[in-house]
Amino acid sequence: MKRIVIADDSGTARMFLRRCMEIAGLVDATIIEAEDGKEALMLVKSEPTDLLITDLNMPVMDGLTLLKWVKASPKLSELKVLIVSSASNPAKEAELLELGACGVVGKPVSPTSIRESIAFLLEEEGAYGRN
Amino acid sequence: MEGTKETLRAELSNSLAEVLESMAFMEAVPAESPYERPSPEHWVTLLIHEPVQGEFRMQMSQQMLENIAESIYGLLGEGMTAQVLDDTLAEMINTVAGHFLNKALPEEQIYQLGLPELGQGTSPLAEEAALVCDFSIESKLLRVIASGEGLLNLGE
Repeated sequence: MKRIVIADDSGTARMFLRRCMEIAGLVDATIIEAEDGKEALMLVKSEPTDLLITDLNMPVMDGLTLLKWVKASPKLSELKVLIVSSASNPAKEAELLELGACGVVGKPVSPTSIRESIAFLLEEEGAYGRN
Repeated sequence: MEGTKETLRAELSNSLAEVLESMAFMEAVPAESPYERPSPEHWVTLLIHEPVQGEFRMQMSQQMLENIAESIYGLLGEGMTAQVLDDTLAEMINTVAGHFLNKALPEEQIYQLGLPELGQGTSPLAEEAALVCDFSIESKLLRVIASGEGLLNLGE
């Protein structure tokens, strides 16, 4: 079973992302939610995680800082980090990918955009085509 | 200055229309009558920190916000909590601001937004240097205000 951590200060956005992943076909996963980057960092440190999905604009610790923390940690540097944000453009996307993000998805997200971004997880899980 | 404001107005209208269509499958068009403050009214503000300084503000009735939230998240009745309404409004202004700045700024320009500030009732007064745009969505009105000289000069 995959372990996924979602970091977004909006509970509704977290719920919507969770639903998008289910519709995209990710059915066998434990999804844990965090309200900010600091909480997400504690969660990914506490147990091996397959994917961290994070918003950029969050209180306490933003998504960019979270990405830098993860990639600077020898224990976490291999963790895949997917950025979901409305505040992104080609320059920002290039910066995030350079820092080690595995992808950047613009808001509003859809099951289709999420499906493309988590394709590697679905392939590993063999979940394609279930929905 | 009027030409600049009209360019901005067109870009803002385009951003709002595209975001609402993609998020909520709703059509937003420029309003034919001015926005009248509803009760209860919800508002949200968002500061732009870099590369220009400015603020976006959005105001609308609770009924319209509920309609949008329902359309985006498919929630009804007890699912339509105050938290869902706040999150919807915050998500909308973030997405509209991001869409607008992506169009108004050069591709290589990184920008930085603040965090949405939400409220109900009387919203803070707009600065004098403000662009006020009223929109109609399914016969209900919504107001978007852009303020701050740096932001308003983007239309030049």
